[in-house]
Amino acid sequence: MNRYLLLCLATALAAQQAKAQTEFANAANLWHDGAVNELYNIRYHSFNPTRLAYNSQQTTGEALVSYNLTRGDFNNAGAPDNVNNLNVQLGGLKHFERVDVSGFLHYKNTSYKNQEWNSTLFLNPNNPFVLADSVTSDGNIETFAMGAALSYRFNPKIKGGMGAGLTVGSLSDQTDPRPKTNTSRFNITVGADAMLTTAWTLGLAARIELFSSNLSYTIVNPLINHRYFLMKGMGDYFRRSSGEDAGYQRDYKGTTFTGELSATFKPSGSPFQNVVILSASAGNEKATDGGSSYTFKGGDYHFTHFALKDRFMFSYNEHVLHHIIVGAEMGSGNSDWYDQKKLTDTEHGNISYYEVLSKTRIQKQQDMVVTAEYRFDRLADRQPDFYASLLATLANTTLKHYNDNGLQKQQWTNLSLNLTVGKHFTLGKGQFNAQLNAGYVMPVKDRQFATGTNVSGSDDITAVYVTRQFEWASAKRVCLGGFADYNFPVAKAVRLGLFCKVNSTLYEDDAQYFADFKSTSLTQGEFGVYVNF
Amino acid sequence: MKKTFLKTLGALLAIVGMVPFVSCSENDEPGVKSYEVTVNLTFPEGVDAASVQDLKLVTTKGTVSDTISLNTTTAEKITLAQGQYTFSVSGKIKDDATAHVVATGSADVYADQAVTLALQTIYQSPLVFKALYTTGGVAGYVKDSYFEIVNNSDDVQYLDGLILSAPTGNQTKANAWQAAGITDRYECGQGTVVAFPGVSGGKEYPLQPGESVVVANDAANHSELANAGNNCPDLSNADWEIQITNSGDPSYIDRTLSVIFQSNQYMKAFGLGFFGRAYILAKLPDGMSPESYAADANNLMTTPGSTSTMQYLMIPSKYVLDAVDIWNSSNENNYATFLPKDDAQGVLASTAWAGKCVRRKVTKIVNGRAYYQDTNNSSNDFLNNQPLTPGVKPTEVDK
Repeated sequence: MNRYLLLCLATALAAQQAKAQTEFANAANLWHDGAVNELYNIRYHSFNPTRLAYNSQQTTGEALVSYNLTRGDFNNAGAPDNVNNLNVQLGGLKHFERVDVSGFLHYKNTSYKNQEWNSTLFLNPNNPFVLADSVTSDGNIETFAMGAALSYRFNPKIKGGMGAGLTVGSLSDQTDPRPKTNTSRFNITVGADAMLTTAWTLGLAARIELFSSNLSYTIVNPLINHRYFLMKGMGDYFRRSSGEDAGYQRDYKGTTFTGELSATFKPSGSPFQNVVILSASAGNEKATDGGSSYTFKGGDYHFTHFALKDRFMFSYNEHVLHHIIVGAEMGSGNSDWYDQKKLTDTEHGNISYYEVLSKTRIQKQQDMVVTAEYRFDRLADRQPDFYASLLATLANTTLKHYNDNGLQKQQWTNLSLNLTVGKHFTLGKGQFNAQLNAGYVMPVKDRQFATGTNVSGSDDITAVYVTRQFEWASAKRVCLGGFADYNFPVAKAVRLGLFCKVNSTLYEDDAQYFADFKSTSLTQGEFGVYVNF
Repeated sequence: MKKTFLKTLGALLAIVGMVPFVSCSENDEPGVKSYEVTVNLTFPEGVDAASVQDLKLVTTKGTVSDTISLNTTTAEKITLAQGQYTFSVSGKIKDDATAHVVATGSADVYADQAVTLALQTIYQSPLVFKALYTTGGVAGYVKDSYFEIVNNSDDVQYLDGLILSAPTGNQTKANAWQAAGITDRYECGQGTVVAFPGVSGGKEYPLQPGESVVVANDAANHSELANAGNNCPDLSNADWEIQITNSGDPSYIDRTLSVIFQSNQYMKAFGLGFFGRAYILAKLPDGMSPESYAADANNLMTTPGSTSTMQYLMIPSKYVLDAVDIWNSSNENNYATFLPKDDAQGVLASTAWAGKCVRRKVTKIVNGRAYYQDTNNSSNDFLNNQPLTPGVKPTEVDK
């Protein structure tokens, strides 16, 4: 998947769940072209394409095939119970005289079971305007992602770069009502940096991302009436039925602008180096329903995200490397709903259309995250031999929803601690690597629950949807995981590797809001084979 | 090169600088607003606010409804959250068993405004006949008829003091009363007029919304009592029984409707109508007992234009909750027993002696509860030659 998309989604999810194990997401993935670079390239977490010029490993390639499975019931209401993924990935880095390039291709084939309450694909996870049905169904998603970036050295002091990424996906299931969702995300990035002094480098980057998604429901058996839920947030929804619209169609369009300013301090000969990255993004996702038949506004979601991150690394000798990363993020999302009235134009063939009566800001979400991580690496031949990291994350989410009953407010604040340790062993001609991680997420103050649903009887989805979403996002949990990897040379500069990893999240709360979570967990396992060349 | 870089840098700075403004440019004011709506009511001709009781306003937004009791005034101010509303007003006209006032309207409430609702008079009964079985299960056997009464409203209804009567009906021309211009009072008493115990307005015998009661002439298993080969029903589980004591009618259960008027003591069963008849369910004004009504000589009448001394109990149309005219299917033409507001047209009788009933159509079933068609036109509202299913809740809608 597009790396930026991953970052966006991870950021949003991290804010909701505060469950990231470490900032060094790629360093443990030895098949990844950035595995070592993430450790040594202090600009690695910038999206400025000029970061490629600072990689320690500038030419490498990777090919990977893996299979992963997700099982368990501790999941959000819109997620399936049972997911299988086949991943095929090809990527690499190449250094030319003045140019560094990177690129990747990624194909993922996903099959899932028992999914309901969300038929969208690659929508911002905080966007409340989800189109859904309540029929559990099995389905399939195919995802293809590709990306490339380039850094050009104009002269020893100035570099420029650009990059582009595309992710396309297609979701379908064959149970009435049948969603068919096609989504694409495309981004272009430009950036530059300039060495102001021998120690200071200033970088600047900008990105625009375009999002487009088409969701189309069809019905094969018209004798059964199905409900379409036009979600508005916190369980509040506008209802349509297959009785009035046999099929239902929605288009999402979105644009995100992101800017990044980075300042790197790296005095020559000093054991210290530091980078401060300030990023800001703003964007929107707008839903329009009806296809070519009519236009019904399904809701506008506007979001902003600000992040400040400081990465400090120092090494007094070639055997030890220390990292301290501290960061703060603030995200906000505003959701506007349109009250609309259906009218018929009797002068033009009785065409139905909707007139907007009012635009109302019905939901506001605020996420604040503060992180601090220390990582220690003991090195052998500039490769990690042993490492350990401790990440602490404090995350607060406030969700305000406005409906006919007034203001409904959810709030939770979680502290999470994650410990990661890893060791590399020489085993015959090959290398065996193992990592273990453990984490604990706990509320630091009382959670505040509310529901946005203001209907009664079977229309009230508080018990099946709202409580589950809230409990999933805010509950106490334990995270345990580990991986094992063995790779060995098969030719000159070519290594073949095998790996497997498991991560499990165990629900540890008292199921106060959603009783079905009691004694549940969610486990993800992956195994695969890769070639580094 | 340096110039190019500085230009690029300037452009990037501008983009980065735009971000906060883009993010803050949207209207940040959240919340759903509320507005004051003045609901003005206009009453139909001949009806004033004082003659209406239980006036209610139901506001509906999407699937959410709210009920407000209105003072019997012509204007009411309410506060509503913004949205698209439909309004429904209903009330009961005090001195008529089935007359109501209703009005509907809609408004897009995005500002303070007035809504005018013009009330109209309609006739609709909360209690109606669900099924009538009077055509017999075998020739010569007369005690197996039954009447099923259902609460077709959304409120609890009470059976206290309800009158069950069977005018002669089965007409091919105007009867003597109609011919004499008496069209809004119905002659009752060809045999007996019976009533549930209690006083009209009492609350001793509730009937929940959607629930029904079976009133049997005799609450017995008639398939065993009648001759072999009969099509008679088992009514041993009936809720009520009609007790005509002076004709030697045996008693099978304790809950009985009593005879309040009798013109022919040799008639051993209530409402015999093997080839057709007319039936009435009536409710007297609150506080009045059926017995005292029947004892009032002002409510009795002989046949106009006749020397016959046989008296009939006259029940005015305004007391009628439900009327069902069952017409002889052999007649080439039929004449309505009732005013159109009570029953515009009769349903043809089921085949005699075949053990079939006339049953009211089911229009919808919601959460297991059936709703029945009631347009005051039995030819539309009822189906004839239906299987006997006393007390059984329907599971299918009639197309």
